[in-house]
Amino acid sequence: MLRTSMKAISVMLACARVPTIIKLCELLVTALMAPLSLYFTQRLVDAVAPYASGASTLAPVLLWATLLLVSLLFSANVGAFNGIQFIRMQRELNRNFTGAVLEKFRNLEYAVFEDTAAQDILARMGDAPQDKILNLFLNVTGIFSQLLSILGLAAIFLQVSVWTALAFLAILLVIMALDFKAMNQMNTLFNNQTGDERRMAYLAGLLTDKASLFELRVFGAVSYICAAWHKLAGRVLQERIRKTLDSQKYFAVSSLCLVGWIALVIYSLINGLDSGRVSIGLFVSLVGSAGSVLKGVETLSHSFSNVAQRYLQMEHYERFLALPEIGREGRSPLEISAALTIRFDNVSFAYPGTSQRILNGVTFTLEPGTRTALVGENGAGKSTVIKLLCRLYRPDSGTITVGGVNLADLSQEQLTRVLSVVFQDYAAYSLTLRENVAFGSIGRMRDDAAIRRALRQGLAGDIAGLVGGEGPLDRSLGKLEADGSDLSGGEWQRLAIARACFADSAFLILDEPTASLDPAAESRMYHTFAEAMRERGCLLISHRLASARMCERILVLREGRIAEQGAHDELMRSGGRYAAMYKAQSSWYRDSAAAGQAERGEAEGEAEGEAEGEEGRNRA
Amino acid sequence: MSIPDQRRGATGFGRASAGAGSGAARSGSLAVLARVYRQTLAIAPVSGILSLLYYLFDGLFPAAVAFLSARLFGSVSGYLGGTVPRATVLASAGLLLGCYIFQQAMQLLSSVTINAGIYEKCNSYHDMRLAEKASRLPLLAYEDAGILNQLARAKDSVKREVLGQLFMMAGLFVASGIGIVSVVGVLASYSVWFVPISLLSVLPYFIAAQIRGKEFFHIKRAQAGKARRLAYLWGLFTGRRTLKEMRVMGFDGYIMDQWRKCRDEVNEELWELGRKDALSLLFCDILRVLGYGASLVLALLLALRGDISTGLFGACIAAFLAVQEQVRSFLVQLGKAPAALEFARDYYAFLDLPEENTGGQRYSGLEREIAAENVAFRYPGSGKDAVEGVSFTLKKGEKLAIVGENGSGKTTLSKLLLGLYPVREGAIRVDGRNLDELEKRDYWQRASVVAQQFVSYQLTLRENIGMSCPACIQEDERLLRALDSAGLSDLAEKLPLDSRLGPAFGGAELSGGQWQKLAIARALFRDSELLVLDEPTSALDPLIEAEVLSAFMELTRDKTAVIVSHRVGLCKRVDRVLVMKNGRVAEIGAHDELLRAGGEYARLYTEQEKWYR
Repeated sequence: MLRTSMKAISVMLACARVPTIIKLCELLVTALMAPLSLYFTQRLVDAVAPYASGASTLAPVLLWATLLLVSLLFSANVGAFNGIQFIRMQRELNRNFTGAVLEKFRNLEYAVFEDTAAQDILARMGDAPQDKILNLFLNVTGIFSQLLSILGLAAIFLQVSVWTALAFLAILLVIMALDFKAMNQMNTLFNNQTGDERRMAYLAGLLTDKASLFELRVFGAVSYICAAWHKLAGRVLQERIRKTLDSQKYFAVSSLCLVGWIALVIYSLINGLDSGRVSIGLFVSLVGSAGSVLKGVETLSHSFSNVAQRYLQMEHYERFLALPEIGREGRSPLEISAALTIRFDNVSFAYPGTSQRILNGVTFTLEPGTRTALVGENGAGKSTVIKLLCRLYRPDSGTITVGGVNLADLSQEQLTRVLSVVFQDYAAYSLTLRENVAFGSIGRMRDDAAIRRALRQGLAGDIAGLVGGEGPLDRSLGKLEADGSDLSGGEWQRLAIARACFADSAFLILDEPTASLDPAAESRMYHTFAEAMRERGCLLISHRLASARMCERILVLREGRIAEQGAHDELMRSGGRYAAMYKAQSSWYRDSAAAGQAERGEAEGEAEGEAEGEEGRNRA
Repeated sequence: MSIPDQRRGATGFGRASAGAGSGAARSGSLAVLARVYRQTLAIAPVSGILSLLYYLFDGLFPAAVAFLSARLFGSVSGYLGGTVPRATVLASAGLLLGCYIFQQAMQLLSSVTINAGIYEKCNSYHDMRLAEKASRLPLLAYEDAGILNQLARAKDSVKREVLGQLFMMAGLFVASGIGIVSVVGVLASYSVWFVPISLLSVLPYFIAAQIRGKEFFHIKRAQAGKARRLAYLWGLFTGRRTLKEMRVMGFDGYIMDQWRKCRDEVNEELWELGRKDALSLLFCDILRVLGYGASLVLALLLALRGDISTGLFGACIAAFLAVQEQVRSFLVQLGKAPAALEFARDYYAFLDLPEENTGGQRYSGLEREIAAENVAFRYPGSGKDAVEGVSFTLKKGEKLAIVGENGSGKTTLSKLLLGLYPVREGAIRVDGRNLDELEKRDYWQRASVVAQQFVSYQLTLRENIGMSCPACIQEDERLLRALDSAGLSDLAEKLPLDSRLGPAFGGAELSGGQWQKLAIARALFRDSELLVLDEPTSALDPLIEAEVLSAFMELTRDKTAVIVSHRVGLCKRVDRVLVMKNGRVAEIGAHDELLRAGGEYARLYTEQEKWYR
């Protein structure tokens, strides 16, 4: 616990040295001021009586009154001094800490993002990590400061007797332990969402979602879902109330202790009065301090219960820092040109933590300036091929080479010149239209003519009021800016294609480029596509086999291997898997409906039960 | 010791919701508060009343302590001077102790009632009210960005337990008020001088509150667009989808620079604001200590003149602090209130939204036809009709395909036919009766759907099928038959009906094709005479796709059906085709007719078909 506390303090010292040091000093002074003000009160009260009876001068009264005021000034815990240090710390953290966290995110191995075990860390570090560190720091130092205050109070009790001081500390320890337990129990209750609660949230989600409400309403099943929710809610409520009541027993015992302590203090003070050890000043200040001691103990136990959770944040931070990063530098001086060949040589791959080989000895080449289609059933591993090609994952065995150089030896910068990609789950950037396109080749951000050309190639020339490709490029897209225009799914996808067209990479990779396009747009796309891709190599993944047909070569991926390859006509002649899929799709356009039916029966027998497994991952 | 109002450390009102109820009159703060109280007292009457009693006591506690301490100190002074017997001192001490015991007991009791009653029980109730309300809104409400925002804010206010906190806040507010008055009253009983003195000690607080405005103890935050942009750019790095794209395409460095630039701007703004805030806070604190100092000096003078005893003077020091603490708490509650009230208002505004009008006229099945007469419809917030001037007739038993480009109004039209959206102009007539006036539950009871965005229920296999007819969900035979018809008999062999499906709760994982077929089995399971099928655009491989489309056709046998399709190839199998273009009906007729006519349909058809020649 102490070690983690020290770590938090050292992170703060590293990222925000000056305000942290000032804050630490300030906490020390404040901690000492609480018992000191009690002492000053005692001396002031004791000075008043002799003065009133003429036994002494006004000087001691003035001295202690002044000291008391000064000490109160310091212990004002919402002091501006505090506030300014807080803001300074925030500012420095934003500057030094947050940037470092983001840089780490930027360099994380992609596999980390798909690793379920790391999701929790990523989620926590992704959400205002600087606040978490700052809170931990304040929490930890707050505890030290409060403990110091309490030790100071014990020193004042020493004036009554050693035993009173010791009893005070002992009772405090017990109370702290009890409160800590109770708070912990409550916190676990609040933080550990039970399975029932997650299910409840899911059901409530069904009731507040447009897609599910549509179904549920027509089916008349809304009340069914409500009833299921009610049943769970009843159980959860009972459990939560039970646990809440259960934790109250700790509070009960600690309340008893507190009351016992107050009784003890009053009793020993009265005895002290008799023996003369206790002055009226000491009596007044100690009895009067009961309220603030109660408050102090409350605060302390509250801080303790919070800190347990916050320590976890530190743990998350350390685990985050330990996550693997990619290297950006390359080891090969390879000159990237459009004349390079990409080669997969006996590549095998299983996702980390799984034993199922998605790819099992895949071998193929992508020739420069050639269009290649990759087809296969759902879950055959098509998207995995792309992930390996983009170096998001590394093959378990076999090699991927670019112009004879191992893909792993290229720098990140070289890689971007080898290929540009339109992912199946392409992103939509709520930035300017210009940026959305120019991200394909960031160096040519100001090349308006090329941007407009790319927009036309991606069939995006007419979106966002850009009729004929003449509209302003610097208009905002998306919902982020008030004046931003939001686009439809199809429009965003075309923008993503334009982005890839803008890139001057040797290869263009398209994963399901037409999924959200309507047939007419799809058809037009194929036309312009051929033109745009004239000088570049292209790898296309699509379920609409018409687009595969347009490619010079077709690779059929099946059970982790390349099962068939060749031109459309060759594959149709050989009558394999590709031919079956093509026939199934084209049957919908053939003259006889009966032919389609026959085809279906045949295809169904074969396809049964094959689309399972990796499917979910590909679509995720 | 529990601190009820701090129970959930993380909860708070870091950011006030951006006002905005969609045009409707905002209810006043007191009305909202009254509603919170009515509701809370109705749900948890015992806890509610006990909590209120506790606050009453809590308000009086400082005064009681001040009174009893002063008495004790007075008797100690007397005891030391030899004028008061020891027994009196002990008795006074006993009373003070008793007061603390009572306070501890009350606190314990309130901790139980507040946590269990005000928070747990009420929150569970609010949660339910919210979900039930959401399920009763017209479907169209979910197309309205304003209402979706309202829903999000209402959810937020339940999650933050704002209503419970408001209940407590108001209690604390009153308690602090009682506290201030009663402590001052106790002091006044010793010397009237204490009235102006204690007022003097708290006056600076009110002055400071005036200076700092409403958000007395709240550091203002810059809620500008820049902060949103900063969060957005940050999010690009923490999401895998964007990260991989940025990395592969090589513009992560550019975004990083943008983020840094934006961060520096936001940082400086915050710093400026924060500094001003801190300075005004400093001013308040100085005033506060000065006020305390002044009253201390006055009390000291009284003591020196012999107007009050030394013991009483000691009691004053503590009492002044208590008054200041009460005032502080009073103002803190007041400062928090606007944000909390805003959240509560959002919640109630959502609860008060108009609900789905379900018609009312009994309906007992389709006899002849469904007819659209010059139907127009527009989405909320849109300046243009999504569907306009649409007229056609769907005969009983007829199968109609609706085709057209993206955004031509196909899916919208299908929802209008189901009566899920209200028409803006014209009417949909079912056997001559206006659909708007029919009892929708009757109408839907005889309809079945496969939605384009069908739902993959993370529930049991039984529920995934039986959801379309909850009353017959226990009929295993029928469930299995539906599975079989949808081509999923193998699934039924592998999985018992009550096994859970989907990854969310560790159920069996299905492929996209299997989920789609489950949606079909679900549509099949219920008895229906009208079917509305919306073809999925999600990527299915060609073999699965062929199976799904064939299952669609199987489903429509002997039924009146509307099939929304993106693949014109399907149209040859239906009786008639309706071609939508820009929200209007471009053509309607049988496949062969339309193909011969050489219009929009022929264009769509050949454009797709040519790739398969």
